[in-house]
Amino acid sequence: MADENKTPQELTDAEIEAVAHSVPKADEYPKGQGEELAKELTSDSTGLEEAAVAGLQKTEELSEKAIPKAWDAGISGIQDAIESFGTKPQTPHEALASEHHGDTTVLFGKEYPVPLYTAVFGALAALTLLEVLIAEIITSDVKIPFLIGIAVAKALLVVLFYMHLRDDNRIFALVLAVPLGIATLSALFLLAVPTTGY
Amino acid sequence: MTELSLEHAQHTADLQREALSIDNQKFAMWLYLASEVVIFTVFIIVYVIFRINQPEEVKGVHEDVGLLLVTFNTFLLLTSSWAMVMGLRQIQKSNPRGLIQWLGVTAVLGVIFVGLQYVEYNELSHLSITLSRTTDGFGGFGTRFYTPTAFHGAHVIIGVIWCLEVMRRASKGRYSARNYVGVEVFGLYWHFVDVVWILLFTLIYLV
Repeated sequence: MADENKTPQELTDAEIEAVAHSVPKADEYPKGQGEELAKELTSDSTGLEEAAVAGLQKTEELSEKAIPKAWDAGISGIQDAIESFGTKPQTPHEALASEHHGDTTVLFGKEYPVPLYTAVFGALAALTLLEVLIAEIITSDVKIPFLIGIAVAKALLVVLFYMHLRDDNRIFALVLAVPLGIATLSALFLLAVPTTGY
Repeated sequence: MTELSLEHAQHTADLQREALSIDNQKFAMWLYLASEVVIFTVFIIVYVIFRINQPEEVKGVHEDVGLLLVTFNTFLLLTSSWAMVMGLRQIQKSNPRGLIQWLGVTAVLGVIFVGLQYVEYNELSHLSITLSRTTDGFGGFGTRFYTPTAFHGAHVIIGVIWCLEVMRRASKGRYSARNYVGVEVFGLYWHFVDVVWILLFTLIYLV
């Protein structure tokens, strides 16, 4: 058996092993020994420890009453709410994927079993054919505003749906709009320059 | 309880910040596209001024050049854009294989587009539509035509190379349903190239 006056650091490996084997395993303790040990411990405890134990017992009794139960339920509810926030929220991409770019297309409140991207492609193809028909049929310059209008509509379809500007952060639209606006104003200003001298 | 409220408020503020935050890569791409907007707008303005001042020259070109080839090419590019978003949809559904397949379609259509553009340029050169002012038979139409379309074609070539790189990364498992911003950024570029062509097609070939 190890010398009881030795500190743990002074024990040899063989002594440590001997101590380990001398301690009974949890299921080897005779029944009731734990309670007796607890009684022994409380018998020489201080008044402060007794008060703490009494306080804990009282709390346990009170926790069975309605008001503390309601309080517990409230705290649990708040905790659940916080944890639900803790799950990663949908990113804009995911929101896009689940809401607007799903496997169906909602048009005028009616749902069609065609993926939105495919529906947009169909619209782009139809508008392109319409453009070519207008360009081939109408020979005068009357066609120009129609053709430009269709081209702008097609460009908007791509930008809004394929480039996701419809759902993404507004800053992206601003980044696109500012140079486009300045360039358009510059073009209009340039077009005001007379083409012939006087 | 006070500690809990503060913690909750902090958490809510974090979530609000996250919701308002923007993806840096996408923002960078949009800024780059803004610079491209300026470049292409200048080309378009130059062409529009030519179209306004010399309408007879442009009409002469339109009479000589058919719309069949360029319309077909336009459909190729529109289809490639559709394939691009369908690929994006696949990775959103955790299907990298589907992403690679759709991006493959995008790349092939891009290559065909550029190939047909080369065929078209050859045809136009036979019609005396050239870059040189002395040989161009349509009062300088060639310069105004080739500059924006060739610049656009170069963008398609770069896009195809980029597309192949995105496919390579996808094959190595770099993208997933929660991480596909790389695909989306490439998509922004490709769709922008599509938008530019939509405008060039109408303004140069139809108007």
